[in-house]
Amino acid sequence: MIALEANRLMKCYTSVPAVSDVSFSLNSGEVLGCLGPNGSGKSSTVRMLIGLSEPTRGEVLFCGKSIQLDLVGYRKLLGYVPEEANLYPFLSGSEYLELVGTLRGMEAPVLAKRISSMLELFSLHPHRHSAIGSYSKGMRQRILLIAALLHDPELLVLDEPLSGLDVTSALIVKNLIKLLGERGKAVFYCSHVLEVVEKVCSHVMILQKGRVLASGSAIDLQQAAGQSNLERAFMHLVEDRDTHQTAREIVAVMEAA
Amino acid sequence: MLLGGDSSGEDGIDFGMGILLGLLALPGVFTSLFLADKYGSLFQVLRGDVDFDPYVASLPDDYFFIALSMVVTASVAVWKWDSLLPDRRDYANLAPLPIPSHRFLIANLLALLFLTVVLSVDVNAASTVLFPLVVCGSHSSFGYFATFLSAHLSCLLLASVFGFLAVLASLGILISVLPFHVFRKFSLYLRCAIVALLLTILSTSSAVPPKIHVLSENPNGWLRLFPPVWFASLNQSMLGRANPAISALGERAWIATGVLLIVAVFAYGLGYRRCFINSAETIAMLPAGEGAVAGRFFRVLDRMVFRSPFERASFRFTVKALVRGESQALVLGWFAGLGIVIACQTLFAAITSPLRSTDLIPSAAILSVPLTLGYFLILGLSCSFDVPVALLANWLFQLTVDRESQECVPLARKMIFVFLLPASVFFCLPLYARFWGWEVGLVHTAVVTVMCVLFAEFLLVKFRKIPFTCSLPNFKSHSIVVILFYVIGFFAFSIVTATAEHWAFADQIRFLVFIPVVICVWLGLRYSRQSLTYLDKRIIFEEISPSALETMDLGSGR
Repeated sequence: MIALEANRLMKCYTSVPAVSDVSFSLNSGEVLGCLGPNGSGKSSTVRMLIGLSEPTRGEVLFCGKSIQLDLVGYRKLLGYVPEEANLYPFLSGSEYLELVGTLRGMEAPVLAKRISSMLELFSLHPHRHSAIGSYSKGMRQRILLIAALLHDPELLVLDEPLSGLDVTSALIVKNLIKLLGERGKAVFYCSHVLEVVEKVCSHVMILQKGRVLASGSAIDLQQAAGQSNLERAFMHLVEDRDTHQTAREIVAVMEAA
Repeated sequence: MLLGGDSSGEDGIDFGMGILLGLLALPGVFTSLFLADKYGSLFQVLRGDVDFDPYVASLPDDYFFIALSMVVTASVAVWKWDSLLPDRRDYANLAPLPIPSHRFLIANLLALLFLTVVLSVDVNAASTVLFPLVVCGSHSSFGYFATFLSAHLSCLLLASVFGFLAVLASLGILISVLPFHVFRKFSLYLRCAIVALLLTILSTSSAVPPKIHVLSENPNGWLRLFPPVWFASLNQSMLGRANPAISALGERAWIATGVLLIVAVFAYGLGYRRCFINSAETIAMLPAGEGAVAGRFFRVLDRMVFRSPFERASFRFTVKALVRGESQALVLGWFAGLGIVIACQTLFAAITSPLRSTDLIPSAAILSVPLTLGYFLILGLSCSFDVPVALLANWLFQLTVDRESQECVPLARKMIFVFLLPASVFFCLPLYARFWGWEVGLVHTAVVTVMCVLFAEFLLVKFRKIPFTCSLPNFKSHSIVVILFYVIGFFAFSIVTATAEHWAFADQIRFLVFIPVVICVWLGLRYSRQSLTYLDKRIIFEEISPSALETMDLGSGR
């Protein structure tokens, strides 16, 4: 069953197109990875998918209906982890999660129980009463992940969810994403880390200059590009620079008189 | 100061340094000018005051300026409390640089001193020039003027330095002595205590001076421990108008400032060492506590007032932002402080005036006290709601709140009344009932409550934000108009209402006149709210000021 569908999305900022023509569909139980270099339109696409900005043209459908018809209802079923961990620094981790859960209309006893369990599982329980302003980047990221999962959403939009996480937490989150896919959740996963996308996602979409350059399973993309892994396939499709040569040039500039 | 205390750099409370300095200089300008009639020779003749000695007569006014300058510099130190000493972020950014650590200490200290000097000069500049001119205007001798000027100036500067050093020394001692997590908890209470003390100093600035010249009759009076009294006494000593008791108090000003200087430098050095050099070893987490009392408070309000999930979540968020956000607390504190000072000055002036036959009912001035407090509290809350906190984090509200729900006005209304109504019922009613009987107490509490409700409704007509989540409105372009509006509003709300109420108390049937007026205003406000378009009621997260020049974009259709 198709959970999320983007039809020819276009987004222009002061007549400059950030996204030109993006279409894809995401089924329940699928994890769709979205890859692309800086400025390829990933963030703009994500903002349209979660309804924070309206497409200049095209539409986003959830279960066959435009999300704009019932944005509030759609967002109740959505969990979102933004690229930047912008949180309220004066709230404690526990207070922030309580704010999120209450805004989402969760019952206080259920919310308290889930917050406590989630904080324990994400190793944040000892710091639950500390101000978020004193948290490390990884701790903030874990708070964002908990906030996105707290209300058991049907659709997850994750923008760089592993950013700043330590090895153990990153492994937990990777396994969690796979498991959520198996449990029938639809997951849209944006990242720069190709190895993770290759391992976690059932399908991959590569964006460049606001358009879908390629899409399919990781193996399909490797075969289409004639490369041995996703990283090489991505470089082959997107980048025309010799990265080794660029590195050598940087060192040369550093050492120049 | 190095990085400062507020981590949310995008809050953007930027009134502009020019506006801030202008606002701080205003009390000195207005007070000096308003005093012209007191010291003018024509007015002295009209009053029949032939033995008028400006040096002695200026004591109450000098006391006010001394209190003001002390309060302003101490307030700056309290405001910048978290920046007075470097913290872990400073350490993380500065320690890797190839600069000796003592230079950071000197740089931070110099920056603080510079800020203090700028604000001190700003607050005192107008009164230093205008006040001596006003006081000595009827004397042609330059020596007379110069003596007054030098005494006035030195006492003001010394009082400013004293105020700043007192806060710096308190901070240095605390951070040197207490464990870090205890200090973090305790510092909030200490800041509140200092603010309360500063408000007391300013509020009593009209009540204290008459008692200074009679201090010799009461050698153990508590007033001797009040720092502004020392500086006012020093002023009288320098003018040659002090008796031995006042001269001794004046000497205390020098001694206390000197001792504070030594203590502050010593404590600051120790605090610096602990904060900066050892900050890599301090624990990153700052325990904040469970807040059981706050939890019970919120649960009670959930049951009684804030029923929808949006209201509950937003109320908790707002209270925490108000208590923990520096800029928000500053705005509310500024308005509340101004209200308390004006109310206290009015009250002291009213209770020290001669009794009249109509004192069976409170005077208009006494009636205006709770109205003044209500006016400034509502205005302070309303203005602080406009100041954003960690603006980039508002994506959470954008993602979860229904923009069409129009719940912002009920939320803001309930919050204002949660803060205000208990104060009105538990303070206004018993106080007025105690002195003028239950009838006056009940009627006045009702009037204050109704006026506060109307004023809050007036301010909320076009309100469509969740407090603290929207970008700052552009104050700079119309700040003068806004300030004028506030001043006129104060007179209309507080003075006019109190005068009308006083008139009605003379014959209580007159209160019936108020009923249709209140109903008309209420209906007018309701109509204004209802006549707003659908777009004007949507929740906003960004305040967009209208462009000065708008094009018709005729080419877009091609």
